[in-house]
Amino acid sequence: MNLPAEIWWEIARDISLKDKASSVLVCKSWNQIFITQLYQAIDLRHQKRDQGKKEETPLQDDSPVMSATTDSNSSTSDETMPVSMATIRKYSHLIRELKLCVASPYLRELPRSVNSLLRLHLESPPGEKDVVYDSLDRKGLARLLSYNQKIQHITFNRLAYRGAHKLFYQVSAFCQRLQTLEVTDSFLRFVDLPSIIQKNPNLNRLAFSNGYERYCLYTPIPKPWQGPLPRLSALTFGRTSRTVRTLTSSQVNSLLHSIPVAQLKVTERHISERAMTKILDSLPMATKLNLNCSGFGTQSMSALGRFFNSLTTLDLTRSIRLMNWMNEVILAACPQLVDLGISDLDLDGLFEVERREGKEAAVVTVMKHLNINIDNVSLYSWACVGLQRFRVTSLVWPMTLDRQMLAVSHLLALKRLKHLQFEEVTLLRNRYCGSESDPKICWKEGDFGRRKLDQDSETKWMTEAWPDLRSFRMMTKSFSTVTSHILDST
Amino acid sequence: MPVTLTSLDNQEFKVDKEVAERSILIKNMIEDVGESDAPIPLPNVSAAVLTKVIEYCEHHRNDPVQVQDETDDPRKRSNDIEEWDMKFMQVDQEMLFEIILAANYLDIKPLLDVGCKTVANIIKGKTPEEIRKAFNIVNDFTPEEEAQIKKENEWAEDR
Repeated sequence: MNLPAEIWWEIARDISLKDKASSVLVCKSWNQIFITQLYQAIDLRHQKRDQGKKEETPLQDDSPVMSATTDSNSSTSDETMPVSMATIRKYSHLIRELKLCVASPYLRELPRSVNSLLRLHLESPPGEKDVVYDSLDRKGLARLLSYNQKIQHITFNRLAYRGAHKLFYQVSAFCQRLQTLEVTDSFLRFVDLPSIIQKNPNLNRLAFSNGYERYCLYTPIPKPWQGPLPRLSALTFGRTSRTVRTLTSSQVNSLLHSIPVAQLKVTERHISERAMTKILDSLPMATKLNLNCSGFGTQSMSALGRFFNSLTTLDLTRSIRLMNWMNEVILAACPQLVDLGISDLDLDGLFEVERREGKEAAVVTVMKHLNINIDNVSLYSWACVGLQRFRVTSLVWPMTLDRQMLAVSHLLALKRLKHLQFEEVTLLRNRYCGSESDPKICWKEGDFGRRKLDQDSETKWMTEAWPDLRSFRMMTKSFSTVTSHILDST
Repeated sequence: MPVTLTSLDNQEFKVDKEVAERSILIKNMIEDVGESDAPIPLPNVSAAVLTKVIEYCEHHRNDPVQVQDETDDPRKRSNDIEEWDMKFMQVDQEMLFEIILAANYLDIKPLLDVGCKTVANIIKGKTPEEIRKAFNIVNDFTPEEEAQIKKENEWAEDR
């Protein structure tokens, strides 16, 4: 009595690497099944700790800024490699996913043997605080890419490279099937976004985040988009040091204008409203917008209007200029919306400002303002009963019992909710809440999955009220000292 | 409306349509054939196993239908098994494997998942010798082969 291989593979997904290593030793038939799982995704980033760092020397590169001293004799002995090259060569046909360090000796040795990669992850050695410029073995990487042209997903993490345009040129040249390109925490110069998009016809996710891409648009777009439209469906700009400048540049606008990106993520926190509005204005279409940045305001709101009918996802959780009427309009006017994240005013920021200026009364006004907010959200909840995910950050829970009941009862109108999340909620129930005992009003704090919700007597009503609910999150923010101070002063 | 299922050994089972449709295979069959009283033959499933599978489907008849959620991270796949399912899976190994095969054949994804996790839990944390014992497997490696494989995969042991 045995199971077919596909089922054993399914089982192998649930066990650790160590368990897989035990399983291959059980018998010949188990070896055949589990060896594929053991070598499918391999992480070669960790070197043995007791070994010296003799492989640190950056490998030679044709970049002129490179230091010319490369120890060409540094032998690639098996001792510095946790997995010996012989072993990797033997099982190389099984490897689909590879994680590597930039100066890894593997990069020099691997290319000829590994040729069926689908995913590649490349980063600076772990544990090093500062990434070193140009430590990448670009020739090794070029060889690896040229042998693995079926690669679909590439991630560069903590990479510092002056000749980034060469790097991306290689990626574009070899990896025609590339679907995802993510660059995080990296220091890159001369990244030519338009040409990356132009040269990789299958690319559907492109993300640059948390880094310092300077001169992000090295080559200006010469003319409007030519050739078949790219499949790019998601474009992410992260918290880069220059994003503000790059995003306001007319080049980005013409880039966005010419490429129909369905999903745009901008996670840069400090971005001006003007820039935000320009970005929205230049988008030809949008179904998913994640604008986790401070810049969203009145002007951008009117720019957003064009997408009301097509939006399915809208995330504005970091916007500090979002006003109640905007929440209302969004809720009432977007019939397709299934995922909404709204935010209230950034309390942290406000308190800072107020403390500096010593205007406590203003804070109280703001808080009252916030207090009304959940009612407003709920009054319009009938308009998008199809909403599946609802997130609110920085919210003051209504203080009086009738307000609370009103808010809850209107939230109940969102019948198809799957995920309900409240973050940074301020509860003032100790002073004002009438009923501590009713779980429908005093919601339990924490992270709940479907099962947990069902099991807990205090949250069970939720799964009855929202039959599709899969997760619930309620995180309060503790700034009791601040609130009591304000309340005392009124 | 009840549906009749016929097992390998020609035993007939009457179950609610809603329960039977937990199996995507049966659901599709019903949709293809349309309204019909004819029993549905399941030539790959024995009566004993079908009894268990129906028990599972009865218990989970009201569960929301699993939709592949694109936002769900595969790495976050929970390893825990619900208490009822855990008890349900406390059967001898032959039955466990039969249930997994039946779930695979009948296309009942949640049951297949629970089955796979149960088997994975048996493997977890065990030495090769303990695994052999647990699954009643004879070691067909020569000592040299075993040493060779052990050496090759040493890297995976300290992760």
